[in-house]
Amino acid sequence: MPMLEPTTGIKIRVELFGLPRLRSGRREVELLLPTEVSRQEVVRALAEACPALVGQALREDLSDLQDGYLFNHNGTTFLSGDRLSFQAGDALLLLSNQAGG
Amino acid sequence: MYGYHGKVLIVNLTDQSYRWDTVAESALRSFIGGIGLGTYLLYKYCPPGVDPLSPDNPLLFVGSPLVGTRLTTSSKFAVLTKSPQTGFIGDSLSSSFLATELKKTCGDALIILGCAATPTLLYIEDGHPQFLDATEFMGLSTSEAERAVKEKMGDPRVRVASIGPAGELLVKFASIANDGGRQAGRCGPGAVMGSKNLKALALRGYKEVDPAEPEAIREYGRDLSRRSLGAATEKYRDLGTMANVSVFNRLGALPTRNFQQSTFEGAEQVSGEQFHQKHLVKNAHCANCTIGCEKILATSDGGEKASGRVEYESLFALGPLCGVADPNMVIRAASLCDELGMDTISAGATVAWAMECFEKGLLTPEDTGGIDLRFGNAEALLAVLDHIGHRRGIGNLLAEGSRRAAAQLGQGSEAWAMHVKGLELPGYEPRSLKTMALGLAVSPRGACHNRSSAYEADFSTQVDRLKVDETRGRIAAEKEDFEAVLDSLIWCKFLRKAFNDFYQESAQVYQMITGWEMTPEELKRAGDRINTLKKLFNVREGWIRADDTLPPRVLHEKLPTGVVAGVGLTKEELDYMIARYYQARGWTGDGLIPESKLAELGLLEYVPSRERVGPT
Repeated sequence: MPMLEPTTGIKIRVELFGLPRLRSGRREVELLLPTEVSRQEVVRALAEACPALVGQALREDLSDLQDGYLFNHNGTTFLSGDRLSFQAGDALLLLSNQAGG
Repeated sequence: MYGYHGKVLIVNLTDQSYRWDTVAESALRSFIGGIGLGTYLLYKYCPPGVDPLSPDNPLLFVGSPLVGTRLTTSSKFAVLTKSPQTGFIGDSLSSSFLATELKKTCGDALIILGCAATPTLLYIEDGHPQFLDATEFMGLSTSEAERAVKEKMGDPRVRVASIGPAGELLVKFASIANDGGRQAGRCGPGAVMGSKNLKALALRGYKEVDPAEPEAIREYGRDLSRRSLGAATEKYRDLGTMANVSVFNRLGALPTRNFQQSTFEGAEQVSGEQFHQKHLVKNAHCANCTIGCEKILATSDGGEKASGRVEYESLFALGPLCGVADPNMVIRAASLCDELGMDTISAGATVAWAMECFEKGLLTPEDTGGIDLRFGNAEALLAVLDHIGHRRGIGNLLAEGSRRAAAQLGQGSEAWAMHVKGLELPGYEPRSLKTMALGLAVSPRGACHNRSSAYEADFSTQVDRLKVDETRGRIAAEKEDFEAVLDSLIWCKFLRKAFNDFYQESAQVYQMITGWEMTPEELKRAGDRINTLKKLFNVREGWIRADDTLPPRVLHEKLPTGVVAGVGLTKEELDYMIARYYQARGWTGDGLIPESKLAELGLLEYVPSRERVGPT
């Protein structure tokens, strides 16, 4: 799969929580993405912008998130499926799927 | 018999007698162990209508078939009693080596009845109770009491459960501490222990129970331990449950200032990430656990040193719920609750209720003894917690919990007493977690996140957490049944995503331990049976449909901040979900249980006909 052209698309903000935040030392990562994008393209763009996440929250082969993680759109909607849609300024939250307390 | 003893030890503190009762194989299979077996035993041994703080209310410590197998997370026990907070079934789980000694010396359960004439240490060695004077231990904190009991017994392998000053003084949400600071926290079992004049329980036993297939268990155990260190438990191993704070805050699910908001401007300061970087002393493990979710934290400011376990529920209740953003003070507050022997959720929630009363002028400095009991005042939080644990001043009112305190104070303060059935809400905002709202409303023990993991659906792609729909009743019932099986075998909840197929694997494990055939379907039915018997217990104690509800604030006020600003939950929406829940359970529209359902679950033999209040 070809890498995304980093100079095209809209800006979205990926917010990091928990271990991804600690491991990467970053609270958020900015990505340039098309408005319609596949899940794998998001993972690959995230890996390029924040390599510390590879093998941690992102699978080594960049095919998807690791099993213990999921995406949330703008703090309201948990994302499933392969096709994702964004608007400029959107936030994508990278979260653990373990909510027990 | 493999996996079980087939008998329970019954001790009467009043006349210092004891006896062994047998438990039929059919009951063991039907109710498994832990919470399930405890529910069966409580239903059997608790006289209907008993005052929770009277001698006749039994206090149960219940083991499980997994205890002693050395499977990861298996060293757990259940504590059951009629709750002094709710007047309904009260159950707590705890995890420590007390579980293994319990099984070695008390059979499948210990049932404590009566009331000692003087403060007592109940020491049970190899099935023989001794009633020892505990006068010298009275007033000691939980850790002091445990140390003193161990010294007195002269045996470091004795395992101890004790109450602190809060239990002695019948604080309604007093906990039972055990084995190095573990807590059976919810529903007030420490108050029941205190009402029996029982300061401490010390156990030492030698009777191990063999599993039917020891080599198969060992092999399975190795595989499960390996899986327990995978992605399914990563959050718990690394940051622990405290990781919830920053996530819940972002999602508008972090109860703040007595549930007036669901976001907290100080969340970052008390986030799991901050505690991990600035306060973590070490990771710790429960007995026989490979996960190690426990985080031992220490203060780092110039104030009085404190350290101890802090997990999400203690953190939310003593932090954002009280408007406190100072991590050092949260550590101190959690440690203080543990030493006094108080449930951190109910303690924090009751103080939060009082803070709101203070800010609204219903409580004055005269009432509080000069304490400026405003949200965010961490010094005031510590002072009031100490007052509660010793029933001093304003603490005497708050020691009753938010429901009774509000009833006593009146002036409309019932509207912000955040409890269900008398048990204070845990750290999951119901308005922005609609499935959890239902789980909290219908839980037999009151507002509870452990017997209902309905929140799991809300934090997933399974549902839209901000909307109500017809699926929630089925989801909540299924989650409750799942938790009932988990809590009866007893597995740790944090292991739940490490199973490939929970029911399939658990049925196999049960069979390997007991030698009795078990199917996944039979286990699922056991979950339904256990929850149904809990409900029957509550119905016998006076449950009515109106008890399944949420606090008025949740049903009348919309959330004001964050991504969930403007989100609420109406009574009509909640009632709709409750109706779907009763339907999913096969209950009547009023939440009663038809005899046909009892027959379907094999419960008729355990429930006298006079107690079958549903339609035939």
